[in-house]
Amino acid sequence: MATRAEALPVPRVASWWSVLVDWLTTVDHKKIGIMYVVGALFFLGVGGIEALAIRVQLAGAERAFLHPQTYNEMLTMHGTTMIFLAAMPILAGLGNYFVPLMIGARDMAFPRLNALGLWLFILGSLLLYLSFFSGGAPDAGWFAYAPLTTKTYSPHKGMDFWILGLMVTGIASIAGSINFIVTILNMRAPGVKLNRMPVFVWTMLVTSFLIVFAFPSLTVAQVLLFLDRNFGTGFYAAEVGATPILWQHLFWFFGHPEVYIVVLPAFGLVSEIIPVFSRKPIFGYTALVYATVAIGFISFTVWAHHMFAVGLPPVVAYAFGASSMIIAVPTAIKIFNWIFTMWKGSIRLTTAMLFAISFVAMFVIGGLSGIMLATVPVDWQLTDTYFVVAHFHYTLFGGVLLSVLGACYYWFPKMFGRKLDERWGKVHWVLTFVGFNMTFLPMHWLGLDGMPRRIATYGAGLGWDVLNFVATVGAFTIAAGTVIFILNMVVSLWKGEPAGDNPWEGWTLEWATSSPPPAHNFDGVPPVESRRPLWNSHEKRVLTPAEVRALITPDEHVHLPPPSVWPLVVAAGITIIAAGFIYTMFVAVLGVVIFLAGVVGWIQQEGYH
Amino acid sequence: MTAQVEKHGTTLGLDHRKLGFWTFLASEAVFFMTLIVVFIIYSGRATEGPGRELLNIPLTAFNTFVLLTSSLAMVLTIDAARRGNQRGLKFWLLMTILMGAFFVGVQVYEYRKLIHEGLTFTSNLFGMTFYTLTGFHGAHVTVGVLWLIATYIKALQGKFGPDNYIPLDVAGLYWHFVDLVWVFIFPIVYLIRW
Amino acid sequence: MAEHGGHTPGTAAVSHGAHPNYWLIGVVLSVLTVLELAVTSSYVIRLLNMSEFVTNVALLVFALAKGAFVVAYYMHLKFDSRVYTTMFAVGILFALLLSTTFILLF
Repeated sequence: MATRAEALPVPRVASWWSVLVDWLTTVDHKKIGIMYVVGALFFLGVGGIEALAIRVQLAGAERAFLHPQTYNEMLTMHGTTMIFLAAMPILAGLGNYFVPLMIGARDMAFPRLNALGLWLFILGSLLLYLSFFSGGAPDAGWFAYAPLTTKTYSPHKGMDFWILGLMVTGIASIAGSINFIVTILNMRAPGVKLNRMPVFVWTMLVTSFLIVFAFPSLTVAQVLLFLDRNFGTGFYAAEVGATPILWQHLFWFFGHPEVYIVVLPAFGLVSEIIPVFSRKPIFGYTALVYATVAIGFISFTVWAHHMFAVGLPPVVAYAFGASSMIIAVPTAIKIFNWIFTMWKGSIRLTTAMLFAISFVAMFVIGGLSGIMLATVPVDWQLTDTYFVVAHFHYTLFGGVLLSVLGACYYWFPKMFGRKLDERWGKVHWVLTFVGFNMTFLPMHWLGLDGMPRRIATYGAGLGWDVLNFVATVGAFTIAAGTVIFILNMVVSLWKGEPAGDNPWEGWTLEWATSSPPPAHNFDGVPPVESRRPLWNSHEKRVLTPAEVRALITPDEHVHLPPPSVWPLVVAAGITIIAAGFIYTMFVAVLGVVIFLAGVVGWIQQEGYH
Repeated sequence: MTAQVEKHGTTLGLDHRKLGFWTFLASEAVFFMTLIVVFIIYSGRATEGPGRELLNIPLTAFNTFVLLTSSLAMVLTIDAARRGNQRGLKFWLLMTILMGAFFVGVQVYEYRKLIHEGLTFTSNLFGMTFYTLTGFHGAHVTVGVLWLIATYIKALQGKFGPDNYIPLDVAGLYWHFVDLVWVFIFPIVYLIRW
Repeated sequence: MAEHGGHTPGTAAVSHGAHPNYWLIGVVLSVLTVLELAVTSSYVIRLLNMSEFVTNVALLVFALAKGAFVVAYYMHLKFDSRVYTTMFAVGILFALLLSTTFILLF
């Protein structure tokens, strides 16, 4: 891997095959992390193309670029893809790659479970996208409100793909989270106490807990919906005495923690980038960590603020409104942490830092519009308008995506040994930042002016044409930036400036090994006595790679688990079972056979535990 | 498969598998609580048609007793393993499996009888919630029985003993958890008048 | 097999000898099940003149007691690391949060 620059030997068929087998059977957290990130970036592109289709349709009044049915499918798949197939896996991938490195571990606690999670994510996503070729994609929104999702109103199989595809990726998320929790709690190198862990590791820990406790409610909601659609029950059918609102409660009990599931690790990423490029330790580490835990807890008590308009009793509405405002307090603490970290620091405006700073600014805007929406009467006025669309894109795009892009520039050198090009990176940043604000800032005004969200078109003469056109131009500006980003990655992989062990003078443990790290991560972990193990506090500088090496006592007992094909087999079995529930039970039986074969192979394999 | 290696070299001195499994069980607890809550909020609504009066409480009470006793057999299995008592280990593990299978068998019998008497999956809200909740529990028991059978095969090969009982322990945790869920399902579904 | 280990919970190294009398726990669980049936029998209800509310509370108390015995002794949380207890307790906490709010909302 380190010799990417040299021309590879003329590829022989066998070597390509062995490379493929190597990646398909790997249990190395770094390779799994890379595959997660690549898969997530692919779906980020797909979701982005869906967004462009939506923006083209809405560029002017009464356009007919998309059929309303296709528009609904694009809208649903855009939301579902970005949340479940882009944001969550890209964070899982970065976590997979860097959490073990940052705590000085050799791998994740359960290497095969880790691979299982990856393959379930990939195959579950493909199952979801298979819907486009099987009669129609899901078309009832990523929130999938009953009774719109019942057979009567969504008769084709799209919603079944949505349910089962997301169940498969949901298993991946829970498996991955359990793995993160055990790894972080139980596999820290000596000296890496909980209160010395990098903030990103903390946020991954809290996010993993949120996933473990929030996903069951989504699973139950989806199971009941699937039974309603395919087995004649009526859990969401008012005509048999049930209440469709149950879906909204179950979904948002999952759905609001989900927002923090994707945004907390993003907070963590920024908390790594900003200190390094300000040459100061993070300001108020303890407050930052407590705020993360507090957000984790409070995020479970705010869900009904998505439902103010469905007719909750006033006391309930105000209670949820109040808790939604309270969650702004720990979030604001974090904002001040980042600002005070930069205060009087010697700031280096690298691309990563530019993304991180713009994250702070954009997230503040998204947070403030969130407080407006937590005010019940304001919400009644603004719910289901483009104001809400603007709000959550400022938190999810301005929050999650900007920080993830920053992390890509920050960690690419560690993952591939070469830096991304900084000049093209800055072009990427300018296009993304400007395009983002062009796209979503006007939506605030459109929403205040009453433009409803989720509609396929709008009438001429309502005065919404200009702002919508601006938004569409903005979306294409983002797309242009993304193309530059992709080209930058591809070119830098071969031609980028060699990075060395520690190109940014970072002080966390991932910089204590080579770039890219060897399969066993570290020959040995340097002693950890503070939150900044690679920092020389006497001379106020980062240790050089040579000095780091001198600190390391090589570990003689390096045991790496053997590769395993069984995670892939088990994941295929589970996905085929899920597909069988959609198509025909015969396929499900086939899936069960594959699944059981995989489990038997898994149990029998030597070399683990 | 040297199990007590887990005590060394981990930050908390805990076994990865047990720590991970407790996390999984915490997640499962939320899952079952959600199903139970759906049952509770729908009970008492739209009560026309066959209802809880069809439930055979004496039979289910006996089944409850069987499942509780299977948990006893499971702890005795692990106890025997820790003492190195291979015969006891195999005997109690087999007892656990048989009682678990008996529980599932009675549940199948109960379902058939209820369907015959007119309470089906789609009869009314009671039918839907009853079969969904007890069905998911039954599925978990079935998975548990399969898991224990796989464990039994390994036990026959003599793979468990005082220094390797963690796999048995984890299987036991699952089994007791399924029992625990039933401890709450039994009164909530069969005994309490909502 | 009757020795009751006076092991302090929370220490990481679990003492392997400590365990309760499992048979006794089994008897307690069975007795509690019988009690559950008793408080729902019409004879006992008339004898003690219990309202439906009292019956239901009694059933929940018995169920909680049984659950506590299963978790503490069969799942040996009482004798294991407190980390496991915390982990499971957090799950139960969120489960209770969900269930109480849902029951109040519907």
